[in-house]
Amino acid sequence: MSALQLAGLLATVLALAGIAWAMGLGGSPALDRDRAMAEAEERLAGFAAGGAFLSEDGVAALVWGERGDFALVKAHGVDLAVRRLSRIAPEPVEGGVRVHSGERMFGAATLKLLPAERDRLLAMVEARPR
Amino acid sequence: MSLPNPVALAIPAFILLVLAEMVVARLKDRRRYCPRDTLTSLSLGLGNLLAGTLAGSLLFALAVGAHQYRLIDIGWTWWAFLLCFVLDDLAYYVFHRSAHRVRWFWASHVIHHSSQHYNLSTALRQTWTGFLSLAFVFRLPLFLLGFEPAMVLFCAGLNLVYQFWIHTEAIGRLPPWFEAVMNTPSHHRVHHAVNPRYLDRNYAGVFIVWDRMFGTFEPERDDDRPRYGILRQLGSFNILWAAFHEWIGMARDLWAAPGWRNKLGYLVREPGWSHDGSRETTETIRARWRERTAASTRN
Repeated sequence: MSALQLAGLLATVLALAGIAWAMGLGGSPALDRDRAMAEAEERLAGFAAGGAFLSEDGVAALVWGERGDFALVKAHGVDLAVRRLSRIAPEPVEGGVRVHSGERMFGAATLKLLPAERDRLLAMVEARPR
Repeated sequence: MSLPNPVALAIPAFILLVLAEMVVARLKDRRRYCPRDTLTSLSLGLGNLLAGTLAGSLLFALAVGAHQYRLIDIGWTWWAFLLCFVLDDLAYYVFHRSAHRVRWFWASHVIHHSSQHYNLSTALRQTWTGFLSLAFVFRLPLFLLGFEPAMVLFCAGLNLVYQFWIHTEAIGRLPPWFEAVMNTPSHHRVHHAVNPRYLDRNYAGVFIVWDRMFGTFEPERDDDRPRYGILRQLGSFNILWAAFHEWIGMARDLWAAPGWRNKLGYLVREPGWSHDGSRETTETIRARWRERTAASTRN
């Protein structure tokens, strides 16, 4: 493969992705509490969801398990990605909390929550069995 | 005899068909494509071409070397092409099954499954580390049998080109006679799905008959819509992470595992295997799903 061919293919790759964007393809997942809980139960072996804190913008949720464990559900393109949280230390931020997955490449998610919801989340994390 | 590279010749058609599928997605369901996912898939495809160019000469030299020890001279006849195509597809089935059942090969193949989308750009999301994982050993029997190296590589190229069009949700089911013999979008959607029923099924390249023969066939069902990707979704569009994450995970497991037997297990056992049984494999996931299904049927 010559350098010219490589450059041409690279330009084609960028053009196709650009066309997909210009056509308005994609979107965000329709995330609600039920779906966040179902997603965590389906993806994580032995996880029994008890409830969920849903970010107001619908792009992330923190699901708590009946055994005191937690799962982070976040939007990934038009789909969702889930991680069980081995350690949880939500960081209060303006308008909500930031939850780290513990994996650098998976990253963190910010949950936009009303103050009362945020306080309830922080209290639940604080009171979890260790 | 000099033969063309079918994959290189097909690239313009690949591009046009991806564009056509995007138009269909725009009209029917915009969520079938995600621009960032498309960029990742196509970039991985470009990297695969580059890796193939770098390793190509060495692979051909290895093929010619193996051909020196051939059992018979098959030569260049029309029936040799046909037989070569069929046997190469069988070799592909064995390779592909191993790529899902042996973590060393999976580390390379997982790239192709790491998108949560199933469209023609996913078809181009191909490995960068095929040579490293020694995937070429699965074709060695063909050279040793006596098929010409150029013929085998030509047939392998045709096989890859065939597999492009089956990566789509735009085509439903095809006529029963076709679905019975050939790999189709429906059969391959099952292969890319992470639903417990569909895990590690339908390994075929061109002919689905191999799966029917060897007990790995599963039909697509309307009441169990395929969900795509890998069990532990990446949650990232990073190209390098998609290309190397399983190699990195395997290296970490290897380092941390107690004893040589366990270390070997992380290389050659099925993906998800762990020395302490703390992770899930296809078998444990399917067993749990069967138990749950049986319990809900009883209630």
